[in-house]
Amino acid sequence: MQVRDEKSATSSAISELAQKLQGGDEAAFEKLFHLYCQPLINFARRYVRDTATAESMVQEAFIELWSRRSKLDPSRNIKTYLYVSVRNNALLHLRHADVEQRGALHLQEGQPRVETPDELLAKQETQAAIQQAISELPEKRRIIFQMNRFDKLSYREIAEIKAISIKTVETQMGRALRYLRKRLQYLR
Amino acid sequence: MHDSNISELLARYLSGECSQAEEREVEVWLNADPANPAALESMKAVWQTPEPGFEPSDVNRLWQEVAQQTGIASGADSALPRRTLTAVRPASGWRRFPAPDTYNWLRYAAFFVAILSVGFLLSRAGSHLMPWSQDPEQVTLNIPNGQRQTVTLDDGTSIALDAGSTLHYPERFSGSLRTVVLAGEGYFEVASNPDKPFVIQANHAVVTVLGTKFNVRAWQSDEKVTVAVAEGKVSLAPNRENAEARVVLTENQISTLTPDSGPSVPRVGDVASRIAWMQNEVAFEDAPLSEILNQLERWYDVRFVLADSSAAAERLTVHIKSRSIDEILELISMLTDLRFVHNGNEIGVFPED
Repeated sequence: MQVRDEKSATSSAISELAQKLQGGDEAAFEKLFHLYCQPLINFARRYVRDTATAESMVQEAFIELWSRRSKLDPSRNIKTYLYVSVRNNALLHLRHADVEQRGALHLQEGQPRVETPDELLAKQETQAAIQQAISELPEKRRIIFQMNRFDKLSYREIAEIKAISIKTVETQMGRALRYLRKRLQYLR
Repeated sequence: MHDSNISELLARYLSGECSQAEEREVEVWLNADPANPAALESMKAVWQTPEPGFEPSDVNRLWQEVAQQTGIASGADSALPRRTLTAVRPASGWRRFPAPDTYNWLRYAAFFVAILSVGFLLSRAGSHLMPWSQDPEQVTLNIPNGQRQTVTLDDGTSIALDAGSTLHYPERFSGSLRTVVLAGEGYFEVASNPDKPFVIQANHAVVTVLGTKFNVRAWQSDEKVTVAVAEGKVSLAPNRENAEARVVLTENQISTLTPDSGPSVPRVGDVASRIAWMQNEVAFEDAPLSEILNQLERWYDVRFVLADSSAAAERLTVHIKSRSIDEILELISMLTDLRFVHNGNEIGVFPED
């Protein structure tokens, strides 16, 4: 399977694709799909744990994009448009399935007891300790952190996608840093 | 201790959101206390930590489904199996394998027949994405991880399916062909019917038989489809329009098909070892670790979480035989310098220090 990552496509190339898409260009639509499909699935999986559901959600977002192609706003960033679309699908799904509560519980069930400094020392330099600490962040804060660090979205993009203020993003990232620093203080 | 303003400033700094003025503020902070530079370094490590690896999706297949739904010409063949989101409820009579803690694999008997009732239905050709589209004649069977099941079809064909496999088949065979769709691994004993060839769509391969006994290994997460024939004659071809590459396998022959090339020339091989999965025995030759872990996940119903995704590409040659998962992991640990740590149903995979 060919891997195309976003770094190889400049933002002007992407807006060109978006313009072609607006005109009904099927090849452009396919290119956009291959470009954003996997990152969007990764993003959707943070809301819905099941991969198959995440994949369906992303597909629906693209289908919706295609059906709305002629009405696209050319000034709008197509990347954030897709993220917003997927996020909306995810929230609708969660609300519909009433899974949100269970999702939150799942997060807590997975937490082992807090380790003593000796145990953390033993895990020094392993990714696992860091991942574990990240998973302990409260859900909204964790998602913002993951969007910034893993999805490589800017504060502004995150604010736009989640329909919150940039200030809120800043606050959440600051609190994430504070928690992670405390949690991992025995890591070198 | 950081007060909230410093935390936010450092977070912005690490995320590349700082203005030049703010960068100068960070420098001031760094010089303010000898402990600060080290603190920033450790936070940098956290900020740059990669996301834990997980299995990538089959983007091509997802695209095909979208293309079909939107009516876009995509140039590839139709009739791709649609993934189901809910599992079929089989009738009573199938035997559940013991949980990974008790190891009775050796007691597995060759075949047991399961009569399936119709549960969740779907249509194959012209598939839709909406879950409520139904074709009353098609049945979908999803075998959960940690279980195995044998199904008998309308014509008497029996198929033993390994954990994690999915089979789509019609309640009744009509028309000139008997067609089923497989994603996973199955051992087929196809009832003989010279007038109605039996056709298996397995990922990117098509297997056609008249009446035989053979094994098909077609996991979507693996690149290749492998067919091994115990008895009879089987044809293997790519599942594409205008595919000319096609081979015929006879008894004791094995052939492998990858998406980019045609099927390999059938060679006489150890077919018995290809069917040994039913006794929980499988050999991997120069296979990537990810393939082996996928197999273990399906058999033992566990989930591996890799701390370092590059470990998944490491290649191994290993023979797994009816052992407890801990023994198997110990074996792999010795071969790869990786460490496995249980955490409930998950198993973390870390580099050995």
